[in-house]
Amino acid sequence: MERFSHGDSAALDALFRRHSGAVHGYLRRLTGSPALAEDLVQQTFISVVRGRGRYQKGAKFKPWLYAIATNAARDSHRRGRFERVTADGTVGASETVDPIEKDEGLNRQVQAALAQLPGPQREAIVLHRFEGLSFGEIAQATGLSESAVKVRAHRGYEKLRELLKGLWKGDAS
Amino acid sequence: MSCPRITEAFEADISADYEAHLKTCAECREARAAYLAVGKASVAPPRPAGLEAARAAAQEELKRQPVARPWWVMGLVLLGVDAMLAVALPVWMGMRSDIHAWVSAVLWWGLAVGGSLAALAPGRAWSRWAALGMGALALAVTFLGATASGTAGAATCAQLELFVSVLPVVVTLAAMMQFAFDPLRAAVAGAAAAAVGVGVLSIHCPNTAFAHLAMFHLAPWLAVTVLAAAIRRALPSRSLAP
Repeated sequence: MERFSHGDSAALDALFRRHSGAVHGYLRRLTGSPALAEDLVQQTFISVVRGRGRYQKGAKFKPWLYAIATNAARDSHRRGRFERVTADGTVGASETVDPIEKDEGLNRQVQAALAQLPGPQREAIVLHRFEGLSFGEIAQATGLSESAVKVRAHRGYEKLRELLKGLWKGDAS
Repeated sequence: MSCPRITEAFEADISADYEAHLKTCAECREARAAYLAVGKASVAPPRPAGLEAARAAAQEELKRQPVARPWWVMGLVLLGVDAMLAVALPVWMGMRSDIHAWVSAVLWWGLAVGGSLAALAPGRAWSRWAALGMGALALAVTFLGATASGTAGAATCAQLELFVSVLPVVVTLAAMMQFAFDPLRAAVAGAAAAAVGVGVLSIHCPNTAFAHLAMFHLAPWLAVTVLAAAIRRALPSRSLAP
């Protein structure tokens, strides 16, 4: 990040290689659309370049990057660009979720359930469960307190539990 | 959340103690089951080929802007504009000499300086709440010095305040467009930009009637604050960095 801040293009390439796939996965889960997620990845990394003067030295890069990606998704949502995932898991007339998950049916049901959560709960769960950020890192990314993030995640998991009833057999260990 | 240990259900690794707890707590058991079920669909997708365009666009942007501009550069520009107005206008229009007028003006200008920096600085959410607190204090001090008698008078003060606010608001909006929209930042930035004019009026206007202060000093400040925040919300962001 230090080298990139001084205009090193190789450092930007390294950051892009390391994080772009994960950011795309995150945005795809938030928006339900692989194509829109690609647009938002571009917007995210352009924002990283333009906004690197706002990066605080010593801070972790990943929460900052996900904060930008989350803002990109929120901005897109505000402008009505989200294609909502329908109850059967499809994301639009011509687009479908890539067949990349180990269990396509499960993925579709989880994706459809995630789409029914309020935005803040969906963000907290996707960042935590799918992107592997700690609650502390999510708090940094979203500008909330850690306890507020935990409450959102818990409420989100509660709703998911209701929405995904019957999908599992009470495996709790 | 009735069980105090519920958040432990969402950790990747759980302790033996919590595992024992799961056997006796249905709420935690269900939360854990939901967490595990969602995890079954959490395999990361491979990087799609279409991302090459995003990489190229980011590199192109880096070529256009090889040197990062720190956030405080715009902060300094804004403070320069505020300082110019706060010094030049009272000198030109005349000043009151009573202590209350000066205390009030200093508080409003404190909001202008502190609020501008708090709105622009990355992180430091507490500073924005502190700036709003300073705004409340300035408001209280202004009203404490008001006299119950007297008429509202003419609207000249409101016109002057709106005129003085134009330049700080424009510079503030330009600075705020460099990063993602945030309602609290927008409100603080708007309040700070509008505070310059209230400060100028505090040491210039001899009318201390409550009705005058409320209608022609403070109502315009509130209106400019709300308007600036609304305009910022409608404007696009050049970068979505927080």
